[in-house]
Amino acid sequence: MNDPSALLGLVVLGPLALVLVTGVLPERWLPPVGLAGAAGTSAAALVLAAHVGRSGPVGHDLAGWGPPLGIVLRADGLSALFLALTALVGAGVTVYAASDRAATGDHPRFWPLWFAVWAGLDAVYVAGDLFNTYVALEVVGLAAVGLVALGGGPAWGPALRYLFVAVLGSTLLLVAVALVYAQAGTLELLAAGERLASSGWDSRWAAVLVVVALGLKAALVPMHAWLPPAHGSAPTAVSAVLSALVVKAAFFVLVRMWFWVLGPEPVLAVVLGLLGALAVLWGGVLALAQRHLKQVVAYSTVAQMGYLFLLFPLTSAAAGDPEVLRAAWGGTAALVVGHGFAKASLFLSAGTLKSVYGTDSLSELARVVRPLPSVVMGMGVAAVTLAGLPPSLGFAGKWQLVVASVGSGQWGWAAVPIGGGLLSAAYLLKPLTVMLREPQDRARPLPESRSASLRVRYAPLLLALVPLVLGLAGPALPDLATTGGPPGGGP
Amino acid sequence: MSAADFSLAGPSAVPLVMVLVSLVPGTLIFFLGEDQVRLRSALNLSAAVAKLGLVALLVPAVVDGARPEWRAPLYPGVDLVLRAEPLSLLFAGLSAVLWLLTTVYAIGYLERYSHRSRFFGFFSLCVAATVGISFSGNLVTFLVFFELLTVTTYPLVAHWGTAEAVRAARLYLFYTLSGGMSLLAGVALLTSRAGSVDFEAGGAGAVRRFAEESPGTAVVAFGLLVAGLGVKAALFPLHGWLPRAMVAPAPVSALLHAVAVVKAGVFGIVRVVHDVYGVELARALGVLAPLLALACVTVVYGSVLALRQDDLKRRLAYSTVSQVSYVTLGIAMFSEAGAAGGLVHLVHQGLMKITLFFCAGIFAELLGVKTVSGLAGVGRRMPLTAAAFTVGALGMIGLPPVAGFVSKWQLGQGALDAGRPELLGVLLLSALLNAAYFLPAVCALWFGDPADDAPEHREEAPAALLVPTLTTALLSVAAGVAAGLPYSPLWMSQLIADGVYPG
Repeated sequence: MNDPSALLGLVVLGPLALVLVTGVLPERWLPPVGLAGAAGTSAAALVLAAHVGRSGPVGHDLAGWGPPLGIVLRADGLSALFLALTALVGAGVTVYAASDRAATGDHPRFWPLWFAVWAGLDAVYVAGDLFNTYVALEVVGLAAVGLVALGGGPAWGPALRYLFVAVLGSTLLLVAVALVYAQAGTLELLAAGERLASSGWDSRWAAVLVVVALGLKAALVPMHAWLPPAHGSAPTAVSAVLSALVVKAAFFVLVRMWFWVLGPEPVLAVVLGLLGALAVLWGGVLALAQRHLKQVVAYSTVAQMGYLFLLFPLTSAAAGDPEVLRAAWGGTAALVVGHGFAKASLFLSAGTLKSVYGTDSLSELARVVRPLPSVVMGMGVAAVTLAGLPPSLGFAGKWQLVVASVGSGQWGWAAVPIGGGLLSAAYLLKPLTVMLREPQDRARPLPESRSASLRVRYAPLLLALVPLVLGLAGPALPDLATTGGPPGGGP
Repeated sequence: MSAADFSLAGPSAVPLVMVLVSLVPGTLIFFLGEDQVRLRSALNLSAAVAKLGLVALLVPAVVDGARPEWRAPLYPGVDLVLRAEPLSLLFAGLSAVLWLLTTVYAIGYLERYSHRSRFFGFFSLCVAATVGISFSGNLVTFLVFFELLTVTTYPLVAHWGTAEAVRAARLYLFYTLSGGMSLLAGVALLTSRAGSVDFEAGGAGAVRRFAEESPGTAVVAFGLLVAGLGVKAALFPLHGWLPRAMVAPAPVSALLHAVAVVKAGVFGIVRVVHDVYGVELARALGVLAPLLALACVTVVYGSVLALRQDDLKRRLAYSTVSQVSYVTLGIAMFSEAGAAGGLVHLVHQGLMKITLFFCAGIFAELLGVKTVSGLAGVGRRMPLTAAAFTVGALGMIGLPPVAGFVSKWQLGQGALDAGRPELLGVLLLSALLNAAYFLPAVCALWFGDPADDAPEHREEAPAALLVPTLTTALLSVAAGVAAGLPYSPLWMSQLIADGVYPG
């Protein structure tokens, strides 16, 4: 494709068209069409990301209308990073969903809803103005609620609760966007940021609003209680998408608002860091207390999201030191990507075990005869990333965050990734131990009729291997994440 | 590519190839079926032989002064560096020899059990991590492989899948991960304050400059590093995981004690003292004395506890706690002879201890004998295995001509050179204790009265178990007898110590 900026529209409109197509097609066509559509969407996003990585940010005015009237699409390094993550994890989950009906809640509505989430995610990442960001995030939230509800009766309660949280978050975000518009007179991201900076506006309250709005959606402790039931009760493929990708979109918008529009707030940054640290600790402790595999994995998301919020205090303590900034951004990027792949893999593994053995209760699983080696291996590899062990991206992220903390003299923050790794190992080891143990008394044989297909057995392992290998990819990720970095906080 | 380019690129990639030689087969083995015994064994053995051959080729070149190095950017400002120099070859050579022998032993040992692909896969990955540790050219690379070793050994310790094995493996993991936390903090501290720390015989320049500016922080970093490494090195009081990890299959215990985990820890201590801080700086900072004291305590304490175990493998485990600290002792006493003694014990202890573990595995597997008292009369049924055990035990005590004698002689000489005759007392006390817990086992083997219902006929272990055992026993003697010849472990150790203590 000669004009890469056209891809900006394609990554949103492509999945949007698939929403319509999969909404009307007969059921038996859905998996193949879904697969083909996912392949196309992923390819477009990856080409775009590669282009941004090579030649810097791209922009595009949809239908030729420039700001302030038209829809502005932009992709910088950060967009590219999230787009690529969504493309690869999305493709992996789609392959799994197309191979196992149970993973979609056995419901044809999975496909349009999933493509709506995908379109929304891509739109969040390429949105050039705040109103589009808001709308895109709203689409993601509502479609995600619909996906959770596919889990049937037990999932309806959590889905409803998720709906309230999503709507509340969106409303608060809308108020903050309105405040910005009132002050800056524009919703275009870069222009609004410049005008706010030059006007000397005290953006503190708008920042608080944004933090609460997106903290709710990203399940930042203490606003996390909705997440584990919703992610735990959703169908397998849905859990994977929600935990790996959807919460990341809220984090992305927070980063955009914080660095590009409102400008960093040192005090609020420390609060965010402390809440992140609390999330690592409290999410980990709660994960440790769970007796069902999917709940362990869901609480682990609460804990793992906590690391990302260290970005705010670390960049604000960096005092412009480019090496510290690079390490803070690079570490966060590595953790975003590492968690995305590892968490999707872990939820798919949990789903496979649940569909083969009919349970995800740890004590029940301990009585199963021959566990599936590829699935256990996938869980182990994903655990290596989540516990921050080498050579994975989890370790790369942990290392860079520690270096950023020590380099900026903020020693305390280093304790979070260092100590958090041990806690993650503790709660991930619990299910792994169950799978490594020889079956106890009253062992049950593997039910023949429910054996898993090859793709279902190996998709989680493949997803888990990506961040393991990417950890050795060198500084490519930090380089991408900081391409066209933020005006004030970037290197 | 021109010929000149190739000759530059060829050798520099050798350290990387060394890692890949175990990494790639290890990864492939996971995908083999449980029944593909021949293919799996062929993969394992050819990789082990290839590695041994590569080390043999590298040694003369490196002794002549070549330093093949491979590097690639890893994290911003930090490279992944693999470099071959004498110390790395000493350790890599040990692991290459013992990996080959342990693989043969493990193939024989696990013949009847399940999950063999998993076992051999992780076994190879574990060796890849060990090779990575030995060739690491800077602190971050070392940390990466050191933690990789933790990850890959966990499934090996948990291998039997019994409640006890899983509990021991969990304990092992938490000890080592906690050590890893400390190590990570220390490495991050040094790296972000002093810059990326490349290993340099005699101490890294960056660390020397950093210690001049802020000696206090340099001491803290040293403490964090040694505390982290001390867990795997089973330095008192961080040794608690080691005896518990004995539930692992015998080849795993053998490898863990002789080359992989324990040795990686103590090898790291050597690296930190010799190649990061340098002995001069370490002494100036006042960190050698506490390390020496800790090593002395561990040497005696491990032996005392070993004395109280009747379980054979546990006795060997506590013996490892004690013996491995000889290495730290030699490094920390600040004398060239002592350092050479410590380094050579890295190899000698490996050879002798693996012999003992191979024997313990044979006794347990074929005769069901797991205790020292149960060894009575076994020498009559398995004279060859019992002879190998005797060689290992006598070597541990430090009797000539077995290799252990050379180590202890060298350490004693180092203690005198360093002007610390009281260390001779520690060595003698430890030798007495060693004798007190090893001789009863040896006596029981040869002179004990077998239980009444024990069969009388000879039944040596199958060749796959016996040949590696006898080989390591012979190597233990050879390393002692030939210690004066070039390319012997002692000769290499003296070469390394000479580079660390110039003038």
